[in-house]
Amino acid sequence: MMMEPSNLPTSPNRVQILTDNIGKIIRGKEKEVKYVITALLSRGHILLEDNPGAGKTVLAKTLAQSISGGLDEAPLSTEGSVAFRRIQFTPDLLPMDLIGSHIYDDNKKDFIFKKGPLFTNVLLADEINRASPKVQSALLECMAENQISVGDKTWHLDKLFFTIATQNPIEMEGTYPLPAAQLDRFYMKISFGYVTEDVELDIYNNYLAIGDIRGNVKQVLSYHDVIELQQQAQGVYIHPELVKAVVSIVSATRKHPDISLGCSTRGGITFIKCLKSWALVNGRNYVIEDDLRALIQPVLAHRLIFRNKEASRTALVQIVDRELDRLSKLQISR
Amino acid sequence: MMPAVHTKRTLLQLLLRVLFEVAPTVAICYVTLGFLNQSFTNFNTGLTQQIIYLGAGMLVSYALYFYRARVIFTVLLLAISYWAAHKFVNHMPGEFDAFRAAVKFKLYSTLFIFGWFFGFLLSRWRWASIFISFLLSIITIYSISDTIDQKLADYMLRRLFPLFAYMGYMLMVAPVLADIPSLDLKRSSRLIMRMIVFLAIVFFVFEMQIWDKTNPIKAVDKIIEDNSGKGNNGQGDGKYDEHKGMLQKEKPDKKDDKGKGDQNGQGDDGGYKLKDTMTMSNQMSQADFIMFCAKLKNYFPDGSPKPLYFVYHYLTRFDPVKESFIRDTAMPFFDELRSDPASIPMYRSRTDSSVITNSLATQMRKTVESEVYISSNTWKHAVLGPSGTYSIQTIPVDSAYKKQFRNAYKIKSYVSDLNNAYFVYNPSVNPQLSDMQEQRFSVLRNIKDYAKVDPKLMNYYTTMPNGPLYDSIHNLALQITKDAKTPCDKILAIRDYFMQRDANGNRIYRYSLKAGAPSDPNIPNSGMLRNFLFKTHTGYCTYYAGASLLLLRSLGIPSRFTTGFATIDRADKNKGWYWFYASQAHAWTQIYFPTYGWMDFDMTIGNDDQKESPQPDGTPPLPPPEPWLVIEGKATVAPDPKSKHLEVMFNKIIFFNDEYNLNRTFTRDADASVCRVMYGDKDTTLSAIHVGDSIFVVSYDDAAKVVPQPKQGVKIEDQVEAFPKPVIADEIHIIPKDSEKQKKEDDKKKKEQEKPPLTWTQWFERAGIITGSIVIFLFLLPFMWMWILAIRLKLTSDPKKKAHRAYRFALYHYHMSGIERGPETSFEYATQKADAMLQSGFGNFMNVYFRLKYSGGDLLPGENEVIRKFAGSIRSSARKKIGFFSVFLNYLSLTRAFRYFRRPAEKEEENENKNQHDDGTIQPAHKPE
Repeated sequence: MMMEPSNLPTSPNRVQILTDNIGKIIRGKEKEVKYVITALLSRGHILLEDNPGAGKTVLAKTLAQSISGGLDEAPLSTEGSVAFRRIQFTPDLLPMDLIGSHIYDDNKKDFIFKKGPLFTNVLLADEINRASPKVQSALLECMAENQISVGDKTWHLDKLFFTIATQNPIEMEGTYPLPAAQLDRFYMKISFGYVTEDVELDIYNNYLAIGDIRGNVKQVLSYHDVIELQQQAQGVYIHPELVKAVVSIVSATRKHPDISLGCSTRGGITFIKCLKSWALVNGRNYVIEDDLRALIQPVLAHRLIFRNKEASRTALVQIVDRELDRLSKLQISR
Repeated sequence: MMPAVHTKRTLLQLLLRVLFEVAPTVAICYVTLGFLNQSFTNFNTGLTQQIIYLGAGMLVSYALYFYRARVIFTVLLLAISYWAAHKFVNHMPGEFDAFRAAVKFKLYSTLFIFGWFFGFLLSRWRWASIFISFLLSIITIYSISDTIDQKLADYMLRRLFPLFAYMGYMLMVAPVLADIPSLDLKRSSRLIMRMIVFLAIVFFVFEMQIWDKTNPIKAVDKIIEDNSGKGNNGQGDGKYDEHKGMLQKEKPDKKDDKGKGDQNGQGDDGGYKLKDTMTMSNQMSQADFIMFCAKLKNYFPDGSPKPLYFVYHYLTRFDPVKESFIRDTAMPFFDELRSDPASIPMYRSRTDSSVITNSLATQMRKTVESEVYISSNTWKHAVLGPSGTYSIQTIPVDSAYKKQFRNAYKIKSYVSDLNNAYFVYNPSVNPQLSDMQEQRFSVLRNIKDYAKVDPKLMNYYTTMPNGPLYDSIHNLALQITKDAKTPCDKILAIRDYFMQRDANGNRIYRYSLKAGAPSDPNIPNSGMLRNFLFKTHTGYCTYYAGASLLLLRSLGIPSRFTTGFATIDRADKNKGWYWFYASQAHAWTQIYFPTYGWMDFDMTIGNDDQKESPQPDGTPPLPPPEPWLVIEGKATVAPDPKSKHLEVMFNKIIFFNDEYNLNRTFTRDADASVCRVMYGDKDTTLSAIHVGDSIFVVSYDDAAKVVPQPKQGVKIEDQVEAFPKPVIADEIHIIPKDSEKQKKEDDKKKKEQEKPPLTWTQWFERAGIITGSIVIFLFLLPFMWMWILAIRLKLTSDPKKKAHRAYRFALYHYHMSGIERGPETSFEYATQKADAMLQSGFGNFMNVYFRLKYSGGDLLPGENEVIRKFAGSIRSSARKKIGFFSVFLNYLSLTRAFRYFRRPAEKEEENENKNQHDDGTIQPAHKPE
């Protein structure tokens, strides 16, 4: 029931290759890497929240370097990989630093539009919560619309536009927390966390090996592969019972006494999109019940407002577990 | 403070939940309250009202909590309403019986709060039903443990059955209820399916029960009926007419009322009887009215009447705390006639020959007949007769005496020649009688000791409590009887001790109905015995009987406390007739003599100060003519108004007092032209007889009639053939239709009663067996579930179904075998935990299973093989890797099973660690409220 491209390895394999490739650089973070790829395949964006130095930048860079092709004029892309840009958000950053600005061209005697760093394939928006809300909303608009309006002109971003935003934990000084409405635009929010001691030891021992990322990352997929995978992800089969489960999960978040802001319909749609991509990332062309459990926290948690900290940890798991309990008793249909 | 309600909970949902959950709980509480009512008198306020209060509490709280009311808010509400109600009750208008209202209020409010609590549990807690069943079963066991003289196993089973049914029902329904957040009519179908399955199971159990000839529904009905009407098991409620001293008033028998109420219009079926427990209370006043009269055909050789005391009960056990004597149905060699005269059909007799054997008497014995006419004041269920009564036959009361005497019976007693009513209280007045007394003492002096007596009897009837008081009684006894050798002499010594006079010729021991105040005001009777024997020397019959009993027992002479009526021979006219007034209610001692049996010895000192004027004797009721024939059958032809003939079909007769069951059915013409027709107790006319009525046709032994005499060696059927045609009917008794059922019930009850009562050890044994089997059943449950799953898996051939069942079975079996499933999903469990230990291909199977379940695709080649292989290897893999014995041991863990079956929302604590690792994020969107 799925389209099978003839000339390339089958889609699950292609995703696997990408995952493995990144996994060579990012040690002990298979699940997080999968989340990132899931967001990529869902045509969404991801927010990483963690302390500095956990490997967020490396991940974004590696991802970009694993994909060949892309924007022709991408300045930072090297050796034919897709365009990658990194923006360090600071309090004094202005929107035009992101989207670009009109500058006077002496030759043409005219103002020409100088594209900003947003015109890229993979964007690493570092420490997004350090910038002023104005800048944040400019970025988020681009993420939502995939286009930039400057003056009377509208510039379309590339088909493959993937933002990996990072933010520091809210307690840190000098941050502007993203409002819930803007967080909603991120398909997922994950945290990296520290790796286990074994993995950490491995990283130190092989530090030199991964030190020069440019030299070590192979380009395993083409730009078009990714576009195709994104299409494939949309075609992943999701069983009606699972859709029903998503519906009850979403409505349960609205009814839950410990959740003051429930999940929106957009959240539900995103959840289903991510479920499909996650299935593809895991080498399946159908969604299973476990995917609900794997994705509920990264996809839904940041969209909700919990009444207390305890609930933020337990409420969603409770909700999904109740659904899993129901599903697990379900006979195989037909 | 009501919380924010996110969902709208509709009334329909509430009603459905009430129907499915609350209603059965109320029903089970009703049954349990029934048991409580039966066992404890302070519940005597009407079962219906009680259940209304309990149910109201449950309903209100269930509804409140259903709409997510906060606990604090509702508890506050409850407390305020309790306070208000309390105030109201206390300020009730004057005519109200304030005390009764207060008692009722206490009971009802307790019930209401209990109901509230149950409702709260039901709406908030998944395992509420189990908790409630547990609580109720404790209450049930507690309440029924009081009544030990019943056939216990049956009894307990019947009583616990409704609870088990409830528990089963809730176990099936409650999880579904909990899982359906919004219950509507459509989703109820799932519940209804479950209920149907449950009913099928119950029906099956019923079939088994019916097949076993005990019907639990009837048992339940009976229990409920017993609650509404007072059972006639002889347990008075002791509340009424305490001041009547030894007598207590029995409540009317409602069951009988129903049957006959409209016929005889005689509402009050109750009456006075003696108490079943005798205490030495400080005051006793005696009312005077006639209790019964009797003709006792017991005479001295010279033909003068020889009176005997009339026994009601033997109170054989002594309770040292309350200093009271208690009736003990477990006494060895039980020789009371256990029959209810009111339930024996007219002219039928009940004989218990065990009374004769249990009297343990062989010498100087004879059977004495008496006729007893029970007054309308007296409780009609009591058997009153001389000691050793073994047979009872009901007889009709002549219509002229109907008002005075409510029922009558003939009794046969196995009586000793040596026994008579004359001793201290009832002294033998003329020298002739005194000689006879001496004669009997000389016979009894032959008994030197009790060496050959059955030790069981000796041990039981010489039991004394320990303590300084009883030691001093023993010393006193030794001192009194220091010169006496034989038991008889010792008895006489005790008599003389009570009768001794001081130097002034005044009695030391006195008779008084006012016996002084108790020494410890908190225990009503404490110290009375000590006061009587060592201080005041003043008391009435209970004191004398009790004191002499303990004196005798301390000397090792088997004796028992006996209640009944003192027979006073007052007049010479109407020889052999004795009248018994309420004031003659009495207590005395019976003493056992080997081979002669139990003898009455009444040590009570006569009341010298106030010589009572003898009560007038009445005219004796006309003795009914002796019937030669009683036919028990059905009317087949209604009486013809002209010829006054009817036809009766029968196969049971009483022929000269002997009962016969004929081996075939006869039909006889009966001439009812000079006939008294009775319906129940009431006279009626021939027209009251209809075809199909059960009737007794009685024919008198009258010189004017041809009466066939019983012939030896001739078959009774042939004799019946020779009966005159038509039979002249002198009396026809129509049996009220209801009383036939009653009879059957009574027969059943009688049968139950005839079974030996349980002792405490037996009771504990059985309780142990029952508890043990419940525990074993609990431990077997996990295995049973495993077998059910395994069998279901085995019987499935469709690969998709098989895959699902294999999945369920593997999850359960691996969990129970020791690879415990924590908070992980089934897939994680299969791939990470189970496969790591067992390598049974669970993960592989899970891939196939999930593909089948969620991909919407069909079975691929080879997958069927995977399913089959895995399904076949679930048990063997666990056995191989974990070991059969360990699997077995793991299965015994109930907590493990519990963890499997509880619902996911309760996994919170376990999830914590995992979540912290997975998602140690702090939500930026988290805002204080």
